[in-house]
Amino acid sequence: MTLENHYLELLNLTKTESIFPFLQQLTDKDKKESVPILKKLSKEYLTFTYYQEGDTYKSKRKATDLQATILNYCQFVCYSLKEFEKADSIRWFFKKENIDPIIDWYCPSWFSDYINNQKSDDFFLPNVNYLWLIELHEKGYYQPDKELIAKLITSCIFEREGKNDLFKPENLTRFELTLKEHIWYVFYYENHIYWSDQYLNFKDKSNEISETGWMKAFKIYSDNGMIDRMRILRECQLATVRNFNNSLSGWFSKLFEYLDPTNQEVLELQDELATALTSVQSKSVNVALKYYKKIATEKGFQADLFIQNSSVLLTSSTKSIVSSSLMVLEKIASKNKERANFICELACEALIHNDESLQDRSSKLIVKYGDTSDESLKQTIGLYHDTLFVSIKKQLADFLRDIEITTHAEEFKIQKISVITDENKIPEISTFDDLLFLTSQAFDGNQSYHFDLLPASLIKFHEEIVNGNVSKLEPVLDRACKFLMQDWSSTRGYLDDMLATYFKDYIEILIQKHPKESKNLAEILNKHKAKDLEEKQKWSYHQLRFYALDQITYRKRGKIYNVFQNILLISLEKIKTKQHTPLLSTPTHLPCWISGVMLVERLSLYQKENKSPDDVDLQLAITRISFEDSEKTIRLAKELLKDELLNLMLFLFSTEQALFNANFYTKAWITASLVKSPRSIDPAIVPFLSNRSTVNLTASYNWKVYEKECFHQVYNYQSKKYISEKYFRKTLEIDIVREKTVEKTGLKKLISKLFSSNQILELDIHDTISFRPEDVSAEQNDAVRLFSLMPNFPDLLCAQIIELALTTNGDSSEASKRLVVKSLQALLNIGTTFGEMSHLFIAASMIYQDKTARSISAEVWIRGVQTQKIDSRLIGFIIGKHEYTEFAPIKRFTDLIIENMYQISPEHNRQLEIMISACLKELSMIPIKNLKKLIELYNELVSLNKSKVDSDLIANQFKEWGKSDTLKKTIDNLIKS
Amino acid sequence: MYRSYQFETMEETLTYHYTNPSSLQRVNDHEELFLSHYSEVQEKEAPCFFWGRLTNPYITAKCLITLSNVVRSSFNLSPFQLALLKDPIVTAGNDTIRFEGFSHCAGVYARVDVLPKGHDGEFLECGTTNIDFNQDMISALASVKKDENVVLSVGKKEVSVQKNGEKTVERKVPLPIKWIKGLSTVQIYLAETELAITLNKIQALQLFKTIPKGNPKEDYYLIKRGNKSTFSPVAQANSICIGGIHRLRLVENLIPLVNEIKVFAHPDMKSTTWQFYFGEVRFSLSLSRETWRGFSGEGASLDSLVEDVPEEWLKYFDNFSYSNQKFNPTLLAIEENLDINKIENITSRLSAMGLLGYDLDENYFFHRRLPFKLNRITSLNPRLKNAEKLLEQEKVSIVSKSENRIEATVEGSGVTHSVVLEGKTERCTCTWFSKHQGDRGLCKHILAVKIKLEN
Repeated sequence: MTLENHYLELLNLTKTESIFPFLQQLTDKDKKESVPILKKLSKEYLTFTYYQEGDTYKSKRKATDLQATILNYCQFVCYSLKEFEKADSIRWFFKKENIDPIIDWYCPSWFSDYINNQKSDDFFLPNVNYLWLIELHEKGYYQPDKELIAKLITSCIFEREGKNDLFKPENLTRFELTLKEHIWYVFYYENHIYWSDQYLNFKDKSNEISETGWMKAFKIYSDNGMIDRMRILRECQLATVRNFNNSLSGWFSKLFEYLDPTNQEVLELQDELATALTSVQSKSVNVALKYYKKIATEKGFQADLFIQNSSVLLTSSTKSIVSSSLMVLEKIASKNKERANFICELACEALIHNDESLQDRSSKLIVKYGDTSDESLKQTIGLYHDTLFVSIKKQLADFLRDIEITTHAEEFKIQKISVITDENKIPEISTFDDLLFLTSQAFDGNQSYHFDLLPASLIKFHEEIVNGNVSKLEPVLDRACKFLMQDWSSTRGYLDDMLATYFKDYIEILIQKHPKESKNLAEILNKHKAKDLEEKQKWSYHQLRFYALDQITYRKRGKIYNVFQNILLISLEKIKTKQHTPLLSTPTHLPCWISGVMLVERLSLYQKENKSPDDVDLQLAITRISFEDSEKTIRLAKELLKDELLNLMLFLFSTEQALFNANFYTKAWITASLVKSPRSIDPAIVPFLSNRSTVNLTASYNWKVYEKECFHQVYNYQSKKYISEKYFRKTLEIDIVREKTVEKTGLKKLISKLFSSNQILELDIHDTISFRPEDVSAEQNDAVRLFSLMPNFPDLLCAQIIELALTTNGDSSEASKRLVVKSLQALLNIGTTFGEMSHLFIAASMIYQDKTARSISAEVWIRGVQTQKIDSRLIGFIIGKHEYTEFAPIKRFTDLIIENMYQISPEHNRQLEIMISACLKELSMIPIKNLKKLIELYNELVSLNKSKVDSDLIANQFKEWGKSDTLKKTIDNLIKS
Repeated sequence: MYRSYQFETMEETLTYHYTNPSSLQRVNDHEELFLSHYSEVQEKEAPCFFWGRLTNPYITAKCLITLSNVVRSSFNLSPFQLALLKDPIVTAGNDTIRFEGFSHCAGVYARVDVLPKGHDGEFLECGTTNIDFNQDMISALASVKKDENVVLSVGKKEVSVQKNGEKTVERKVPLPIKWIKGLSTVQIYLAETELAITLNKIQALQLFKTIPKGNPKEDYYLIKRGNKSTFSPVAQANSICIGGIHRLRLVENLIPLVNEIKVFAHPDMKSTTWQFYFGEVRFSLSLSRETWRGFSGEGASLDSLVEDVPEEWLKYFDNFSYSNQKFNPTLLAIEENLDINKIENITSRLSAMGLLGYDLDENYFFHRRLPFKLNRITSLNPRLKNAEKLLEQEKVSIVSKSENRIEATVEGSGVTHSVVLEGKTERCTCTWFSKHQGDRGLCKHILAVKIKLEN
């Protein structure tokens, strides 16, 4: 009979034991030959197949449970370690009932290794436990691995019998090795003892011991002397620096507390306690400090050991650690009067914290034990002068007298920011090489101005793109096509996509012009177009990517995109019709400004060629204009321009009452008037506005923060129906006037669809600043470019962004957060004078959920104060209106002030006081949560600025709030000061 | 010529063989910090590099703990094989002991320099080697006290005969390609960085308190407001850009102990280095530009590898130098009679090959040969390898060549790229260059053109 037949016969046996005689007589050679046979049989018998029965999926295998066990036994005897580890269903076979009958007559050489190798597996052998392994070890079959033992031992005191969960601490005494050696591995290697104690530890009804779990077990055996109590205490502290996770480290600290060491014991453990002070887990440090507080005045306390770690403790970011450390230092100072000054110097380190209570604790220690004549101590305190709260300065006044104080606050100077400078100049594209390398990076969004520079440069160099230069654009076209074809990435904006389409359209013009030289270009384009069509055929949801730019509508994303589209279309038109006049709207200086001189020079080229500038291009050039160098611009305009364009430029730049004299370029005149005085309507333009909403031109929208009545659907289990339930949502609402668009239907829709392309739209640029207020998808990646449309008047766009991203305090999407962050960055870079909507945007961002947005809004304020372009009172007023309804936690605002806005310069402090005062005035008479901190900050600023508390606040809010227990003391202090 | 491009796959493993685990143990009247070491290029059988007392064991221990935290950290998205700790390396010689290591993601580099006054001992051998940094030893370091007598021993002073059956410490890790590459290329960045700001302890504490919570994705900037330094999400004139600012938390625990911190910044903001001064011990931490960009992928060394290094130079170099010795290329040229013109760029080339480290404070390169096979290091630049391939396949053509301008074409996949070298400006139409504009090293096309011109 062949070996294979033998095995097949074994599978027919009815008892597993019956196969042992066969396995026992196998020689090494037989075993080796058995391996391929067993592999084949395992595949046939042990592999699971899946099938559907009704609605459920089930699995089955050929082998019965008995046959599977028989095969597993054979594998156990014949396989090498590597083969056994790979074998199916072994994990379930590996249990006491199966192994014990065989292990006495056959233990493979790899037995220990197999078990120990599984230690890093999260799903360790399910039927292997500590007690069985030690049994095997005692019999000499298994060599324990320390890490594995540490993992397994944690469940050995919990047993389950039927439905009962039992606490069996006695299991620890079954083997001598357990308490002697294995129990200590728990302190040395990562394990889940905290988990076992929490989830396996059920109250044991059958046991008299009411308290169960590992802590209890340690107590039982340390109390009866079977485990060394001092060693447990010592190891608990040392375990906190073994880089274990937070839960495990914390568990050891808890065990230490649970064992309730006496002061004498703690005194003996000072080395270990000092080590625990260096733990990265604050819980462990706090527990160590708790015991330090107990022994600090005891005889035998090693003060120096604590002192060597005090610097790290006193500068910790965990308040309780600093506070406890100061308490210990105070105790040390009280016992060691001769070292009091030295200890006071150490305590100074806690003055670094921007927390009044910590500074207070530290300063009280210094005042109590410090010597006011000690120069070293005085100098040390002086170093912290700038970070001290006013009340603390008063406490430490005797120490701060007659010492030199270095101040950190910035000297305040009003900054005048120039944008028309050489450093800000956008590099010119002066050679074909420059153009080539501009095109190759234009779709990467490396610079926001690339969007404007590319169409301007292609107009300029179109005639030079001949012969060999044509083919050089091949890799660029390939990139543009790939860019259009690829899936949307997190950094890509709609404008990047638009630019790639524009470039593809430009190449089509080039192919028509130079068919011979552009053969490869045509091939690349056709290849990608074909792929696009192929994808469409394959996937019905695929949207075709290769449309001409004038066929694409950005209606869904908002009219704002039309301006950009128009500029690109104008560029294509100029290239097609061989017009060499430049685009007027291309920025000349960072981030998006046009110098007046350059605009005049560009306009003069139009007049020379007797061409009229395009309407949108001219309007955009005007909205991007910088009013620096006005005199020079006027001089040059008078020299180079004539007629209406001259008048327009004089109107735009003249500070005197220049005449509004629109004729041919009406839209540009209106734009110029609005750019000159963005927040009011010049009566001269009113007749030209027809039905346009003036609110939309000046962004003078009404806004309010209130609790809006909303409804949501809730399932009612009794009626088994969804019912509408009312709730109130805190909402910021802006009344943006939206033009009603009438959706075309039927024949009108068809005609509009057929004839809507191929035209450059007539646009009033102020009316285009509009999003569809539904969601943020890729606008965040366009934000900087969107702000470049109207740098002189960002309010219109700010209002749109508020409506899109800041109306509620719910969980914003990542895209919304990025939109807010990018918009704030754009505002900061533009550095223009802010109107009410910009203030609303900045103020709402100061209490927005994203920390980065809050920090940047603080920077906008800091710079706004420096350049006198922001109204702190208005910011405070807006935040107050928000906080009236507790729109967002006020803590966001107070934290922002402490971390980012406080002590920048004396002027900033004054403005901050104005801001907080304006905010407080708008708050409800019923104090909101965490208001105390804001009042404390106000008090601090009033003292720092040597000003007076606002009388309106005293008469109203403070009077009412003073009745509240939590605020009474703070307000009394404030009014007294 | 010494250049090997045999590509080594990620699956290759590196095995550290330590005869004993490193440990901190009480021996007679002192604590002995024994560091077990291993180098795959070690010539002698386990020599002892240093044996002596540490002048400031408390600070040295804190610095080594921080180094271990750096080595076990990872800031990129995938914590792949994070558990497999890469051991730091130590260079002993010229009266200085330097420990250096990288984070797992190769974006954070840390070094502890124990300066001549930081120890009182003897250098029995000079060299660089891996050292075993096991958790037990690191945990034990936490208990080192200020006035303790601690003896450091890098390698066993007395060679003990190993008993049969005694288990050695053996740890297999996947060949840390990023790590080795980062160790060699970060030195080039270090050499280019300049001192930007010096902070005393209080200023440093105040600054580190302004590190934002969480792991911010945005860049932060070190700015100065009045006399106060702070981190801000907004750039200002002369501010220092720091990507992945949360990585600075690795050194937070050192600040309360420091005398002074100096911040060095790369002129193009590709990295920042934070040097902590504790008198006789120095700790430095270098951060890559962004969390997801390790030093390894920056391609800083590519330009220097374009030219071959003659093998005899390396031989001379090894004969001439000893560990931690200041590297003086001119002196090397004179003593070994090498072409003075050709040796000008040798420093960056040698550091790219893992043969030099850079001391920011002293402002010089020092000899330190990474304890890995040289062909491992030189084979770690796939971009250079790809450039060679382009040349082999004759895909590079020089179109025009004048004094100041070279134009070339390089066949790419489906398209032909244009490469223009003009003065110090090098440009290419490929995606890599378009995206990074040379910020992350040269692309394979420019490299190929440069190699062609070189030959």
